[in-house]
Amino acid sequence: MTETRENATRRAIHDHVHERPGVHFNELTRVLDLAPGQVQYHLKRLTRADRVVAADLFGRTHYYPPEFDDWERAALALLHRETSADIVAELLAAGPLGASETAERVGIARSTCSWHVDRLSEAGVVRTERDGNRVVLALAEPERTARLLQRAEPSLPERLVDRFTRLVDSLLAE
Amino acid sequence: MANGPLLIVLLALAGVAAATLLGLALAGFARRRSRPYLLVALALATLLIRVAVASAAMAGLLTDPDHHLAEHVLDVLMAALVIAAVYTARSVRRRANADTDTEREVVDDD
Repeated sequence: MTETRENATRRAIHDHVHERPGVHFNELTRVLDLAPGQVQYHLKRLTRADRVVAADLFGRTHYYPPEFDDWERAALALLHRETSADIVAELLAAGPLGASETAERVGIARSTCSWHVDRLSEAGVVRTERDGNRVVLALAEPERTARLLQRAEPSLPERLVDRFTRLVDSLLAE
Repeated sequence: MANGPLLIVLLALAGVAAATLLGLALAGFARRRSRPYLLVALALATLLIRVAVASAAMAGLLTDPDHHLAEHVLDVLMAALVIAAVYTARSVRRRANADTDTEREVVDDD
């Protein structure tokens, strides 16, 4: 591999991480059509130079540009999930909303909704408040979340896994 | 075999589709880690095993009666796994918290 080709590959990986903050390792290999070892090598160099930051979130390693803080990293990792993004978009448009009302508006089973809301509130994206005996969901930081939502574009496999769980939940739900 | 080439194409398509479905099911199970998701993944795995059995039969590794029997055993297995998934989805009960309407999944220790 020539020096310039190596630089071009590293630049492509760097640019993709900046274009799609929160991208997974697998997506980098797939989209850029590179061998896993190659991506691993360049990511190691990029993270060592602080040009890319790796974060283990929700069971996977995500890669970010360095300017994203912890809250943004966790939020972006979740917004890459189509259903989480749908819930957040609904709350942005019409929130605060009751938990069951949110599930209804998004068109998902309550079990799907509560699974996603659990993670979103763990990451500090959604705040759950009690109002009598119902739970009201609201965005903790609507402006920042709206900005991040625009940058989170789920990949096709992510969308498919998400839709698969939606389907199974709705088939197996009460 | 007259249908040889067509059969190979169909088997290849079935293999790709079944592998994709199984991949989705395993990713779903990795996320949820619940028994119904495991059973759904196993049920979809029988589709892939069907393709493997058919390929083995085509390659002459399996006699026709054995192939026939294996396919029907897999049918029974798939139906049983889906029934089990539906059944256990019932015992992964939602407990409405006393003062909330968000539910959390609670696995019965039956």
